[in-house]
Amino acid sequence: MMRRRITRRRDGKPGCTLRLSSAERALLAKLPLELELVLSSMAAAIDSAGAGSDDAGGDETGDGDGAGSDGAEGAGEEAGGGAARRGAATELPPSLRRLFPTAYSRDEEAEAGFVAMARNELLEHHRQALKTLSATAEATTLSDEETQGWLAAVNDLRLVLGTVLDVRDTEPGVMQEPMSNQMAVYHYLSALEGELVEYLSMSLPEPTPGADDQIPTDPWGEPLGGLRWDGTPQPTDGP
Amino acid sequence: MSAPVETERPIADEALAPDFPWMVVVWNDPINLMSYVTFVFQKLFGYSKAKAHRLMLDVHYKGRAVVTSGPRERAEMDVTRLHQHGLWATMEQSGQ
Repeated sequence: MMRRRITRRRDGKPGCTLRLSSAERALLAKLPLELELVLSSMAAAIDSAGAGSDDAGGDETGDGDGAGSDGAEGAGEEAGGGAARRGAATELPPSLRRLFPTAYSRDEEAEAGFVAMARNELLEHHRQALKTLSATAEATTLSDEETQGWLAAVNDLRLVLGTVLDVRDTEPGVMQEPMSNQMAVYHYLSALEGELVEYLSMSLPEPTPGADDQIPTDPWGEPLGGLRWDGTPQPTDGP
Repeated sequence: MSAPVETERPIADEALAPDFPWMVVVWNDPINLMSYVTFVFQKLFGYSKAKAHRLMLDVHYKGRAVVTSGPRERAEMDVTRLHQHGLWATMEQSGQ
């Protein structure tokens, strides 16, 4: 049986003990920073788009080293006008779409409002988790709060990598040889995430009394108009 | 986004369906681990492991599950929290 990477602390203190190789730690220090860098330039693009519109939400003012790239991107988008600038801020590269899902798949106006309200917070949530993972990659023990950050960051990395790799099935039977480096990293993160979920499940609070009874029944029966979350047709070759 | 306006006439589309609750729907995806999806339902909504597992299976095999319902603001909050956990969640008003 494989040795567990994440176990409860033996000294009885809250939190977990990490048993990771130096190669694993190096990966977990580096990988989140690469994604964080992409997200930080996205945050800068949103700030520069917001600066020219009515609902500017730039609440991060002390970010000195971001100012240069802000200016450069703003200049590049100047020719497009207001709508294009707003579009540039909210249009996502395909690899990042899973980190920023659509809330209102059938109502563009409501979706625009939702994005305006929730996008920055979601972006910061992702960035914070990635920073936590990178900053604690060398730690031997983690608090449960840090472990939650690890889970969020590892899941974000899997979502991006899985999208890039066009993963279509979570069953282990579909692993293909030879595996690319990216695919090997993806499977490693899957195993790590499985352990994180298992560890954190042990400290979940008791179920909320009555919560199960509040679960709604699906009022539609069949998938909504045959559409998926993003408005694309529901795949018909399901299990 | 427009600010709410005091008006004596109900706004048309709200008058059509004032009381239909909003349903928060989680859609299947090939990336999220099944154990993770179950864990998120337990953590966010306080569901028992058995019910959370059942919902996860609906997501996986039926393609979607309705996980919570309520007024629009509550649904938006649930969707926001599900998005923070990397799940594909949308909100749809029932009765449409």
